[in-house]
Amino acid sequence: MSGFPALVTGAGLVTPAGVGVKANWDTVLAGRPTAAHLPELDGLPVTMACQVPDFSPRELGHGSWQWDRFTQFAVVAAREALEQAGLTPGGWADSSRVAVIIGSGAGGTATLEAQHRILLEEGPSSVSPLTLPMGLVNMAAGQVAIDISANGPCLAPCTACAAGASALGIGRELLRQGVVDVVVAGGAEAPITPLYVSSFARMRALSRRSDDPATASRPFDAGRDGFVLGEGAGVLVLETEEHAAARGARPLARLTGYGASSDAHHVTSPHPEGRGAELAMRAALDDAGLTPGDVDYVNAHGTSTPLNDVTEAGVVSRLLGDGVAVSSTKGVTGHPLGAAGAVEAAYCVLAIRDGLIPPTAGLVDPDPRIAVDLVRGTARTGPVRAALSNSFGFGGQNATLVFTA
Amino acid sequence: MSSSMHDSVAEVMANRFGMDRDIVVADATFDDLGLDSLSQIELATALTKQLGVELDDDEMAELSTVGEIVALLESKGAVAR
Repeated sequence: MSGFPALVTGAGLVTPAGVGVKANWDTVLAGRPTAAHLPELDGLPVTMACQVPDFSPRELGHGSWQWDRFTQFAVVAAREALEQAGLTPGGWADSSRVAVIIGSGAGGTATLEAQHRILLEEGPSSVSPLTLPMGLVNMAAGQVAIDISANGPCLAPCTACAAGASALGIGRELLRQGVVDVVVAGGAEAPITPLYVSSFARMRALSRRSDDPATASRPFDAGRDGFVLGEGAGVLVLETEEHAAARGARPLARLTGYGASSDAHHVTSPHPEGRGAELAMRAALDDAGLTPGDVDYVNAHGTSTPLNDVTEAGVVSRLLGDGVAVSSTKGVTGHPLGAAGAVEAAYCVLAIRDGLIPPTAGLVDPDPRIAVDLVRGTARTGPVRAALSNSFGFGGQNATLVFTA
Repeated sequence: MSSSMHDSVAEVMANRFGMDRDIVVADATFDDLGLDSLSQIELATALTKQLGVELDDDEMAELSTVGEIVALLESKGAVAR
């Protein structure tokens, strides 16, 4: 038995690894870290992050100043995904059968922080009337729907660092239920702001290696000390088999399994045995109709925090055995929070398409408590029949996606 | 010929909204520039800050082109800067 296939016919990526799928894949396969010192963070407890390079919102058109940065990322990624899928924005046979689901954790926090400063310093009459149209968490989804003239359901899952994966999983459900024919789904995030950096730093969630950013994000490494904040967007085009076949579109891969769960344990610490993570992974495998031996690659949540990586690897060992190849692309991209699940879903799709497993950048000295086959150094070549992608959010909210060839 | 007041308005639009100066011409409408009603209020706030004259929301609502903004600012005695 195999799970309902949502065909992935297009992908779009805007991440610290580059603007566009090709730039991303080159950087991720090479395992090049992207963390760097950012002068605008000077004075904060952590002064490095992974920033999208060479991003020019002006190319989006002269209305782009009305969008927060996370929305700009989402629109660029959605346009690329549609172009790759061979779909024309606005050229829909029935636009009410096209859904847009873009998750985010922080939404337009840069806008909200800036306007709050203006409220305190200049008073209420100086607050921008665009504060909410720019700042609300659902605005990436809203603006993408406007940009591509999609009139179907438009949603914005807010499951923190699982938001992008939740969006794709929910999108597949809409296809399975016959509600729509096409789903443009993913995640977007632009959290490199004073408030977010300070808040994560105060939780001791961020790596303190600001003096050596290139080695700071080191998932599964014995010396890891926290994650490096990232940003970006990932968007996939999902279609039913019928819709893709009718227009002669070929899939890059298939989304065939989705599992979601809650730790119901603690808002930020993972359950010590990874109970919630295991539930999500089991549910996704069952949904896909796969057995553990079918999975060739796990793109781990792998944040480079002391707790996540050892807990997650333990669950992978228990569920899939120690032989499965595991890597975390966050060694390259840092952690783009709500975009991560969608960005990493795209990397799984590319791994299947090309038969290449990206390495874990920054991983030099594996944590001895971790038994799985960690891919590091260089990319690994070989067929990837099925790839599993984990995303775990604050709130104990977990989502696992399974992609197959 | 563009006035110095026009240049000041164009500068606010370029700096605050990232608009290309070439499109901010006298007969450009708010629609041409992608400025919806909320963005027009934002523009009024930015011009008030930059030029030191009060432009209220109702006055902005009466206008539809860049040239009309320039004329209104000049009639209020705003000094280009």
